[in-house]
Amino acid sequence: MRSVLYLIRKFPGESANETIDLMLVSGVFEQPTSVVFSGDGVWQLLGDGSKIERKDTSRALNALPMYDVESLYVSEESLAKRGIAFSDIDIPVKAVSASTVTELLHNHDVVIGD
Amino acid sequence: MLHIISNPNAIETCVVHLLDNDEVIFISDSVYGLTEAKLDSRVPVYALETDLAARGIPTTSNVTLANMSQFVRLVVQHTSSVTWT
Repeated sequence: MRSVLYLIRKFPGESANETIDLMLVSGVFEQPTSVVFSGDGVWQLLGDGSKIERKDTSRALNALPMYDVESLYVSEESLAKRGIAFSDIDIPVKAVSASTVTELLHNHDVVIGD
Repeated sequence: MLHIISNPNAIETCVVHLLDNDEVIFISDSVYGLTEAKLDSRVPVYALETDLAARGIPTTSNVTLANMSQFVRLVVQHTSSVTWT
């Protein structure tokens, strides 16, 4: 089965919810699935959208491992640039360097952006 | 891997993740960023001719112009692609 990498680079919002649904589907169908949060996409790992009439995506993101999506990564450069501490993230992601992100982009069969 | 850039704000991030044997193509509004983009000279760079012409952007020597069928050929030639939106 082809491996899929979801590359999340956008602020939380409409497209975030749809992309999370896609990830869950990939996982359910046992497709090897990884997710990289980079750039403004790292903001999706923080906050509670339900406070401003948005969906709270943290529950869905936390559920990913149960759907067999266990490889969640966040770019440490993107966090540092925005002054976000890794310890503030409540979602089971692994902090990785830019060169690891490059590797991940190249060693998956399909890359899907948001 | 083929890198398809469609947003001028994504150029910088894309360049960080280039490896040898990668190729880059600029499409839609990303062509506005072509003139000031710091591109990697190891990597072939293409731009959609129609997107440049439509926006009145002059062509530069380090960029190869491509039409739609050449774009399709690039996508097919590479085993995978990433779109930087």
